Amino acid sequence: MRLEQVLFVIHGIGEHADAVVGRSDARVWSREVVDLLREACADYPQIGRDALTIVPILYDDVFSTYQRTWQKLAEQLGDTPLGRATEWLAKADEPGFVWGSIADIALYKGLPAVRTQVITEVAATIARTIAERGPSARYSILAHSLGTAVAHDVVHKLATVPIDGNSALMPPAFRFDNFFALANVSRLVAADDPHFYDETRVRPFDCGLPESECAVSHYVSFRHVADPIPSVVRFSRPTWSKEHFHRVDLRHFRDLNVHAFNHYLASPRVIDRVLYRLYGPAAVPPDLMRRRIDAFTDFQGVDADEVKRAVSEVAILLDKVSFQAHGQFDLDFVALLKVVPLALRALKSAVVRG
Amino acid sequence: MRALIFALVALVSVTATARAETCGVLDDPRQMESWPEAADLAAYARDLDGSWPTAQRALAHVVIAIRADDDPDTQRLVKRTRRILAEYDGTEERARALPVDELTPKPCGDIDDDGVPVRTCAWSVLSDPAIELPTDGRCEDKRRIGGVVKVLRTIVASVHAVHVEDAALALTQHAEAWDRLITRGFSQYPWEVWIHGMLLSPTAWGPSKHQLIVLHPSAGFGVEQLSKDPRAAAVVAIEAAGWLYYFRDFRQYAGLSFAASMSNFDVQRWSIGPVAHLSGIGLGYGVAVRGEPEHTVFLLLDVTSALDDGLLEKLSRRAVAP
Repeated sequence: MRLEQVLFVIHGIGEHADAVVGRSDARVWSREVVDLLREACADYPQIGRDALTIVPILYDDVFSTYQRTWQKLAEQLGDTPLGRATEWLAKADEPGFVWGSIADIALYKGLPAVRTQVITEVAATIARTIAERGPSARYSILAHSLGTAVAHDVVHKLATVPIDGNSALMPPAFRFDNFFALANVSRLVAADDPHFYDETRVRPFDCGLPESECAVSHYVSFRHVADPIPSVVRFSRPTWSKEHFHRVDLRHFRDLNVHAFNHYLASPRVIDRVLYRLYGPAAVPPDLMRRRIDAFTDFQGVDADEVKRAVSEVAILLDKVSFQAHGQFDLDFVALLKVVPLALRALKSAVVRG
Repeated sequence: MRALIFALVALVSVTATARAETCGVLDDPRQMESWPEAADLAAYARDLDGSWPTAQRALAHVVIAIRADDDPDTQRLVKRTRRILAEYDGTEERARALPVDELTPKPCGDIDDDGVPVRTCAWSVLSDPAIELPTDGRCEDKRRIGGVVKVLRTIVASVHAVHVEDAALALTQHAEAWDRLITRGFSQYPWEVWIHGMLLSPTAWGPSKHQLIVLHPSAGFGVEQLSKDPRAAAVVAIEAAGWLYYFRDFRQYAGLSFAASMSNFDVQRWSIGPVAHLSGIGLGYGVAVRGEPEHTVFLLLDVTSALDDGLLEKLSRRAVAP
């Protein structure tokens, strides 16, 4: 009987409401991601489709609740002389890029109460799962985009702050096996903290922290080279151990939205690596893993070369504006404002031509 | 020629014997659950003799890892385990003498840029942290070490599980408190949410029981000109400053604020005065700042109140227009 592997899956920015029912539901947002993981598990006979326990976690219902309240407040005052002062809140609960995506980051970063609530809710879901499954199971986290910052903050707080005096979820009593960060923005969200790398407990062994304080055993950070969101301020710690920390750059192209969760999971360099870390060489034989990676083509279609060139151009542009927060490179804001639309146009035209 | 063949066969046999022994499922630490249970811990500990440093290092590491747990129940188990291990000639002393640094995990294997391992991991006693044992270890040693580790981990896990349940319950209660605050507590504008965050300690998991009201506009319904010609009025109020306190686990709140209110949207008729809050309802009183000291009382229904849901709008529409 194999040790149970539990994988917490944490989403990024955007809306995760059920379009039909109009509410947020962890099972709804994660359907596609779970299917991709299950299909990959099924490709390894030693694992099997349903072996992995996947726990999707939802947290943007916190943002939605605040936005709904603000919209109601604005509506209440709508016909009054004070209505103009609050009309900017009137669209707070409507779907859209500003309130649906950008506001998520602003709320999480700018409002400590919102951040604390999100961390507590995610931590509560994780703790309940561990209590149900037991300490003998193995626990890992797969997070995407803003979810990487949320997951980082949750793991760090669980590792450093007792829960009403209870240290059961702090290392060395407990640690996560793996921390997989797709489109890792944990450094970007904490860009104003010069001590981020020195103080975080979300690091594995041999990374400058006593073993008994490490909150994770293994850390893998994935970034698509043409994805501007994790590229501006990159998660990069060259002094960390190469045995337990890996940075993986991806170049594949399947959709214009290279930032999307399922776009990252489309590559076996991501999904097979996750399974290898969870199940080991006995269940994920290196030679089979190698064959699957070699069989995957980064660029498809008639104009694959065109797309490949576009991805490379975008990657070069993003390298020029990359900013290592607090110290190592200068951020050229003007160049950044020019680069992002250029990058998107280049990708889009390559897709149209393809 | 025959002699040469025999020599070759003998050479191959010797080589095969000298090669590392493969131990099937015991070679995969992730298959730990299938190893046999250690029925007699002392017997297994005694059987480890002769495998120093590998087996004893593993056992010593387990003892040290358990010793790091400050929980009283775990410490009682540690004492019992130590008594058992003390029967095994000097293991405990050797465990205490080992510097912890010597037990740091060794690399599990080289991988290429795609994450594919170029050599497989050696067998590890504990997956977290891993201790690499040489691949030429005897299967019998592996079984015995695995049994000891499994028993010790089972003991620690059962104690740990109770505390994990307590932690999960505490976090769930904090999460529910947050949910009650933002769905049924007094509504907060973005700047008020920011202020609430400033009241929180960095180590807090739950919300603060104190909430400050700051420049909070809202609409209500009231009666103005109480002393002359009382009449219904729609009221808008800006609560300049106030304080609320939550009790009954964030199910109810009470507090006071100071507000400027305007009746029937007449900017010439501002009043100032206190507002008393109790779980979704605000009862306000205002005295006109200009002209004769007219009095107004009004009711504010918060948007998160269970009593809201359009009621306030209906009442406001029925107010006598100026």
